[in-house]
Amino acid sequence: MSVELSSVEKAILEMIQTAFPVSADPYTEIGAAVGCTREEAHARVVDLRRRGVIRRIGGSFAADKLGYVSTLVASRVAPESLEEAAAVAGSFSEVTHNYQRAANYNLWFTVIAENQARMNEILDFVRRVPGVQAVHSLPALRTFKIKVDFKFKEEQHVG
Amino acid sequence: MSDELDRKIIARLCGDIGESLDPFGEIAAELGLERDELLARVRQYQETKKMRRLGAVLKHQNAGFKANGMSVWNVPADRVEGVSQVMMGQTEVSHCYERPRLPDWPYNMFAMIHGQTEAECRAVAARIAAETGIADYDILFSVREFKKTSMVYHAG
Repeated sequence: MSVELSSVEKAILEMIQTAFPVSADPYTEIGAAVGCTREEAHARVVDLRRRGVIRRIGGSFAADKLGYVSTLVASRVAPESLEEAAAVAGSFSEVTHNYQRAANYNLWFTVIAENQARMNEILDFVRRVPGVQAVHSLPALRTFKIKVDFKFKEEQHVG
Repeated sequence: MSDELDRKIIARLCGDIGESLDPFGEIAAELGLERDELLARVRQYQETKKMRRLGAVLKHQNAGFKANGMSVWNVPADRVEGVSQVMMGQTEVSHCYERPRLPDWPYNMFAMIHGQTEAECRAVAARIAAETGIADYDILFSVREFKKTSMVYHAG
């Protein structure tokens, strides 16, 4: 299913996906930027939420700047134990992404923890699940890009 | 690093700002501070890069692409920078990292590739390989997604 977007809606989405105005009157600013009233800008955003185009409007924070430590974990789990290991890893709020992948390391998850001790604790929990053969932390040595922008071309549909 | 109020504000902004015409006024009232004080603190998070962005998360960013492939590459240390430029030049690549190798894992660069199909992802990786001459790579497709959430900082 695809959703048709009007040109005003595309303009609003292009603006607020990167920068929702941090302002006492954000919808007046959005309206001014795209050429409509405050009330219309607000109504469009509410409608885009209803239609499922906008999932959330909120903040995205830099883990390291908040003092958190983050990593990607490569683990190898016996096939019959994979679900349990995944459930144990996924039970932690600090584990945000958790995937089975087709490789000799077959369970991959990310951890964002308040400190290294907490990180180690979470990894040890996963290590102790029977059938877990290896758990390796692969923290980013360098991050080259985190891209979120999405240009709305005239023919663009959201599906 | 952050005082107690900052922690509360950051935890709150990890959620949704809501549908109010005056979202910051509403959140400020919830947390027991003036709207101007909230706005000043949020702007400060942006200036200090604690906050990467405040914005709308769109459905297609998360669900529109049916195939997501984690491509992994064995790249000599002195070529990591240049290879990252080629990876970042692909619109289908969202993230790119250098990570440590393991004794049985020769790959030190990771690039997340998003496409409609696995074939599309493979084509992107083949393009990167052709442009960089890096032939030792693999793409790990997700077999199952167990969890995908956004992080809530200072939740406790």
